[in-house]
Amino acid sequence: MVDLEALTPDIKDRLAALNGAEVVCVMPAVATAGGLRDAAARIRQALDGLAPGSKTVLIHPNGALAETASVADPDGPALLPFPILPVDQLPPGGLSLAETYRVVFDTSNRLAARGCVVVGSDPAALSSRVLRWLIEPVLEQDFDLITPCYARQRFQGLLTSAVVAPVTRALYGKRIRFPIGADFALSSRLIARQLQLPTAGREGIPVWLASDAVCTGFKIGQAQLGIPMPAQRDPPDVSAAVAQVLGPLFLDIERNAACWQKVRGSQSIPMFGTVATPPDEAGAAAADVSRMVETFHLGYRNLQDLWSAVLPPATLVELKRLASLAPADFRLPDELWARIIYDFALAHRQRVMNRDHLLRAMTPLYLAWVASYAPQVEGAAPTAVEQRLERLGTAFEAQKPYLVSRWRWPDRFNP
Amino acid sequence: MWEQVQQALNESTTRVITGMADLLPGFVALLVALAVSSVFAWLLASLLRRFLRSIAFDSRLKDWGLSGLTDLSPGKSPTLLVARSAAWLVILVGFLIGVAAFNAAFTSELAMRAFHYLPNVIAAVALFLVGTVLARFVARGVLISAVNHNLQYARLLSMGVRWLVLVLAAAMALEHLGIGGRIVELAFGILFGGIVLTLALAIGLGSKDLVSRSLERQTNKVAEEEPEPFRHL
Repeated sequence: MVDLEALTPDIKDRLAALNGAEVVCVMPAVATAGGLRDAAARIRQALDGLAPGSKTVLIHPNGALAETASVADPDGPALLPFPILPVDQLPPGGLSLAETYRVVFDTSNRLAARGCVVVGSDPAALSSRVLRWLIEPVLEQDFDLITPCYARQRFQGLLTSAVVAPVTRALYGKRIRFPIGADFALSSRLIARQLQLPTAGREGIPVWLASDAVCTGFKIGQAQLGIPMPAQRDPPDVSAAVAQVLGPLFLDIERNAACWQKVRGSQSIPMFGTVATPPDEAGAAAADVSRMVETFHLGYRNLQDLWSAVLPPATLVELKRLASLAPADFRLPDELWARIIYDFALAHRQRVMNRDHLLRAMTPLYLAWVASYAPQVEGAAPTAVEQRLERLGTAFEAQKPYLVSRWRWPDRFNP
Repeated sequence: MWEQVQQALNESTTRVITGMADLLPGFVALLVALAVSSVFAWLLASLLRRFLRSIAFDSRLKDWGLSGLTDLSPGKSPTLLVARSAAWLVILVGFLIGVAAFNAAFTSELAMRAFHYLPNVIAAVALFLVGTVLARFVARGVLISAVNHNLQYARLLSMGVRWLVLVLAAAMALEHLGIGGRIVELAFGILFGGIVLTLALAIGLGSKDLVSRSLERQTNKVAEEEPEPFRHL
């Protein structure tokens, strides 16, 4: 956990000596002096003509190198070592991610920077051109939030593909492809707003960054990064990952209920940069979903009591039909999946049971979705994968009236 | 002789009738105490019901994470449970007051003993209620976790854990009531140990293949390790 007040006097002195900045760049994945030198050079190139180099601050992990003086370039960004960790080294609990971001935003705010860019991916993989696509819209075009657009790998970031992105699209009306990516840029206005938000209920994975920006009318865009999504360390069991992502998401849905109930349809948001060729997944390991289907069947046999407290009878009937299908025909329809997510969001709000139990009880259903999705996209072309996820997003949008109705009248008879 | 029999009969009749006459005020007092306490209990129950409904007690309990109490309540309403418990407590107190009104030494002593015993009863009931809610909570957590770990005996495991907690709660409640003494402790020890042994055997026998596979994997870890194609975060 990082706390700005708890920073070492050395870092505080450096911070005070900086005396303001135009742009703050945060690169938690820089690991070596060479990497830092390279990152600083890329930032200088990326910001060429946008902000004078002396007015840029590069925040890097304080364990990256012992002495930064040898790396410092008088024309490049000022270096500020910070106790931050790359996303793939964060504890699986994910608790420190929101806290790290908060400290970084606070630093940016204190330096009165016009924009802050967080690069969670390995900076060596991002060219200065791509970095520019992230930060330029904030500095030059009055955008407040630039979210990343990664080259999609079909089995990576599955919770984002299955739940976070389609829910964000359906509820907030913005087709943000990676709402919880680790690379993004924010304006000073949005940072000020983020720092005003209460921290209670905003822990873990910061799903509220995009939703709050949409609900408060900030301008959002996306930048093509052309690299795969940087993977966070998956917890030892899937149910912990489900709880980590869906817990903050459902809390956010509850907080923004007044906002999303007014939204109709969805619209694409401006995209910066050019679409890169997705990584070749020809040699990827074959997807064996038999264990996932088995977990679903086990859940169907044992968790009926819990599911029936959350899901309406019609959904339970459809799950029964799903449980009776042969493994080769196993398909969880998108509409059913969308309704399941909405029902669990409502149950989370109503606290029909302990929230951790509720989220973990959803795991067999999530695995059923993965087991249904994996064979459909295995060996499919990247465009086919995108089309598949587009259909999923459309299904979430189509089922939104169901959520609105249940949210407003949860006690109404629902067959 | 007949006169002596007649006299004895008269005296015994007089004694019985006098005894009954002595008991009658106490009996009437008991009935009155019961009637008054019933009316008071009814009033208290309706007031409590109205108050608890006005503060949305049922949904507040859910918010506090005590939804397990809902399933234990009559009509799935903790409001009704609280109102009815309060009413029965008032009736019980009325009954004890009525019993004490017999004015007989033993009834007074009985009533006093009952009054002294009441806190133990309340503590035992509370213990058992908390134990029941806890048993449900823990059993549900174990069930979900076991299903997510793909354990085929998930329900058995959950049921075993549930009974473990229930037996523990019941033993503690009985100890508070002072019932059974060492027999309860002994029975609890045997039952608890039995359940643990049963579970250990069930899990051990049921998962021996799993354990051997896991050990094999550990032994040949480097050779077997394959990348998991699915990343969830």
